[in-house]
Parts: sequence; C-alpha cells; structure tokens
Amino acid sequence: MMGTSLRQKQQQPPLDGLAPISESEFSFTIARVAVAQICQSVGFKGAQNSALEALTDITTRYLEAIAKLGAASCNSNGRSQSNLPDFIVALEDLASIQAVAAKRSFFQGAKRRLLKHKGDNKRWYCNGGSWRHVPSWLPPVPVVEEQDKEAEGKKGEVKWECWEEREEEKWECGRETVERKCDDEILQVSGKRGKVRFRMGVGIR
Amino acid sequence: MNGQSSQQQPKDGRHDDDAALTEFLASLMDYTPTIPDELVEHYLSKSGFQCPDVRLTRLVAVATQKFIADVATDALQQCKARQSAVIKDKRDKQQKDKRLILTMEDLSKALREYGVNVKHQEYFADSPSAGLDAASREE
Repeated sequence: MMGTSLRQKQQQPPLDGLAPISESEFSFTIARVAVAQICQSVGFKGAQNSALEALTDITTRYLEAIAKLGAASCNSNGRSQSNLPDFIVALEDLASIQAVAAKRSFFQGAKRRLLKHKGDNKRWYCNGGSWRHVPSWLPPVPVVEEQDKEAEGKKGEVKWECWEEREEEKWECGRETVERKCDDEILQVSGKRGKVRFRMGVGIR
Repeated sequence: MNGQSSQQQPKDGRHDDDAALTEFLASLMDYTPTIPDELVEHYLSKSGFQCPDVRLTRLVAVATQKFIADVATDALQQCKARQSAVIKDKRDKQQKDKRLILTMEDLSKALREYGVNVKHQEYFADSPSAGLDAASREE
C-alpha cells in the first residue's frame, strides 16, 4: 500500500500547475522582485511588465559587468581574489563618476602610509607584519622637495607627490615620465649586499 | 591593499579619507541592500569575481541599487514631465498623479543617457502594404 502511493506521488509533477524553471530564470525572478522594490522606493506605483523585465535584464547585466571587470582587474594584478581597488577600477570602467572620488581617497590613504616611511628604511621590516613583504635592502622612499610649481612647467612631467591630483587627466602619458623621474632620484642603497660573480662557459665541455 | 589593511590605520586627522572609507564599509553591515546578498554573490561568482569579504558584496549591491535608482528616478521625471505637459482640468490630473506607472517609453528615454538603447516597436503590421493608401497598393 505504501509502495504504490509513493509511486503515484513520484509520477505526479512536483507542484500542481508549475513547471520546473531553469536556474537563470529563478535568479531573474528574484532580481525582478528586488528591482520592483527599488522602483517602488523611488516613487512608482506600478510598472508595465515589459518595462520591469527590461530593467531587470539591465540589472543582471550590470552586476555581471561589474563582476567581469573586477575579476579582470584582479587577475591582471596576479591575484585570484578581488578586493576594493579592483571594484573601484570596475566602477570606473563602467563610467560611474562617483568611483573616481572613492579611488582618489583610497589611494591618498595608501600613499600617505607609504610616504610616512620617507628616508627611513629600517621601518620596512620593523613595522609589525604589514611591511614584511618589502625586502630590507630596498632604499628608502626618496625625500623630494615640495616644489609643485616647478614640476608643472617641465613639459608636463609631474613629481610623485602631485601624481594623484593629475591622475585622472594624465594617467596614460604621465605614468612613464613619473617612473623615469623616480629612477633619477633614487639614493644610494643602504646596507651592503654581497658581490655576485659569474663565470661564463662553466658548464660547456 | 584590501579593506582589511585599511582598518589597521590609526585614525588621525590626516587619515580622514581612509577613516571615512573604513567607516562606510563598517556601516554597510548595518544597512541591508534591497538586492539580497545571495543574489549578488550568485552573479558575481558567475563571472569569476571571488571575494570572501561580505562587505565588498554589499558594496556591489549598493552600487547596483544606486544605478537602478538613478535610472528609475530619470524615468519618473520623464513620466511627470509628460503628465504636466498634458493640459487637462485639475480633477483628471490628480487622478493621473496617483498612477505613476513605469512604461517602456519613459524607460527607454531614461536609459538612452546611460548608453543603453532600448527601442520598442511602434506597431506591428501583418503585411508590407498594410496601412498604405488604396491608390498606391498594387492589386
């Protein structure tokens, strides 16, 4: 008796009147509810079905675009897990203007932390665990005078401190000139490193 | 440099940008975005965006919510502009104001500024000669 009733249950469709839907339709339906709630919070009292579905499609595409750009940004930096700068880069690529201000504030903080160790390389490895990835024989951050106006006049080359103010306009062309300028100003390497000798042709018989 | 390392900064007056960002990330946990976390994680993992930090997931949800809210606000303004352009007596106008409906027309106008081209067919005809004058039709 129990066996036959179970078999009858399995032959029936899972829910009366509802066919099983695919996984993408399922997430689309949930996204549609969320988008409808957002529209309601903005002030709409109702929506056409086609308009709501079009907006939901755009929402899913926007999410996937952010994810794809963020993943590409982190992969190009040799990481597999994305973090906040990757997300900001993704927003910038999507031309969401608000991301630029967030990126500037984030990199200002990072740069300030770096410049705190100007002229003193002992702090690289002494400062807890946050700088242990930096080798101790690296020279310290060079101490450069605060001459912003001079830097402006040199054919568009900018000093490292003024970098982030001009970052948005001259990101592409300024980067190479900044790197060249930093090479000129690197001081002597503090701390002796052992000499390395090579002998050519040792392995050839 | 992820959100974790920015939290270790001491909060000086000079680090107010950093502190503001850290506080914002912390406040994200108090505010639940309209788009559920699981849905956002589903779409993020679908495209390869791995992130163990739930705050970043919420940040993505908030960014998306803001984008959709901007589009919806623009569509609402289009709807209201269209209603105010229609000159009718006051009673009809008030009845219409209660019925702000998101239509394809308003949505496509709003989305055009974001670079999304959503065009709706004006009408459908069952033959190429439908709607033409009888004189120009070849019979």
